Amino acid sequence: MTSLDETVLQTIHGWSSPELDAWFGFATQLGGFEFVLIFMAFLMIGLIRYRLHKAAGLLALGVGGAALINQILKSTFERTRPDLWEQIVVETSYSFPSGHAMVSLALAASLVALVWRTRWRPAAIAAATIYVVIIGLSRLYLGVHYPSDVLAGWLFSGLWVAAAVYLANRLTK
Amino acid sequence: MKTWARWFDVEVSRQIARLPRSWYGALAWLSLVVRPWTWMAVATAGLGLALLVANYQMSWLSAGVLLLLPLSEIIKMVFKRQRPESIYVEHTRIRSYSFPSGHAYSAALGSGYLIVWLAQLLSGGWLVVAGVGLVVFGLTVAGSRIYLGAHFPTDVIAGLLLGVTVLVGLVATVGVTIGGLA
Repeated sequence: MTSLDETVLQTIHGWSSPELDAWFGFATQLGGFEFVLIFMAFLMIGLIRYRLHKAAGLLALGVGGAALINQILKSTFERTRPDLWEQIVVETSYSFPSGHAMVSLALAASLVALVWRTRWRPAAIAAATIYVVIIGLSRLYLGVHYPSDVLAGWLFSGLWVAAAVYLANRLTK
Repeated sequence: MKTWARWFDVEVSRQIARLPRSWYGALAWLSLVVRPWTWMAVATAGLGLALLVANYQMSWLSAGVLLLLPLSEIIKMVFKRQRPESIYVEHTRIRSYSFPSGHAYSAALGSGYLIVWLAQLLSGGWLVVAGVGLVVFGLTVAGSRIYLGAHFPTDVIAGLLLGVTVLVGLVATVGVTIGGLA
C-alpha cells in the first residue's frame, strides 16, 4: 500500500510548477475546517433567515461530526505524514485519514442531500464532485497526505453523512 | 503576586511530575485528541442536533460556545507568557503562548456544554453519574497539560476558571430549560 501511495505521490509531484504550487496552495485552504466553518456559518444564517432550520441543522451536524470523527481517527492511527520532498505547506497533525478530504466531502455531500429532491440535484452533484476532487488532489500535490489518507477520508465522511441524513430524517419526522 | 504565582507553579509542577511516567503515552494521546478544535467540532455537531430537534435555547448556547471557544487564543496574545521549558513543548513544536491554557479552557467549556446537553436528556442519578464523569474527564484533560510540561499550573487554573465563567454566563444569557428533551 505504501509503495503504491508513494508511486502516485511521485507521479503527481512530477507535474509541479510554480503556478500549480500557488494554485493548489490557495485551493487547499477551501477544504480546511477553518474555511468550511466560516462558509457554513454564512450558509446557515441564510437558511435560518428563510426558516429552513432543519436544513441548517443537517449541515452543521454533517460537518461537525466529520471533523470530530477525523480528530479521533487521526490520533488513533498515528500515521506520520509523507516526507518525500520539501513541502510548501507545514502540517503538524497526523496523516490518516485526511481532515481536508473528510470536511470538504461532508460539506459537499450535506449540500447535495439538501437539494436532492429539487431540480438542482445534477448541478449540485457536479459542483460537489469538482470541489471535493480538487481539495483531495491539492493534499496530494502539496505532499501532505498519501492517496490512501484521502480515499479513507472520503469513505469515512460519506458514511458519516449518510448516517447524519438518516438521523436528521428520524428526528424531524 | 508574581513571586507567589511562580512559587505555586514550581511546587505544583514538581508534585505532578512525581506521577508515574507510564501515564505519559495515554495522557499525551488524550491531550492530542481533546484539543480546542475537537470542541469546535463538538459544538458544531451540537448546533446541528439542536436545530434538528427544534431546541432553540440549545441552538443559541451551541452558537455561543462556538463563538467564544477562540477566546483563550485572544487572551494569550495579550499576556504573551512563554511556555515552560520541557521535552513535550520542544517535540510538539507548540507555537502559541502559555496563558491561559486553551486545552483547560475548552475542556471546561466543552465538558460543561455536554453536561447541559445531558441535562436535556437525563435526570436523577444518571445525570449525576454522567456529570461527575464529564467533570473528571475535563479535569484530566486540563491536568494532563501540567503533567506533560505544556503549561504552568496557573495557566491551567486560569483556563478552567475562564471556561466555567463563560459557560455560566452563556447559560444565564440563553436561559436554558433543564429537561427540554427528556
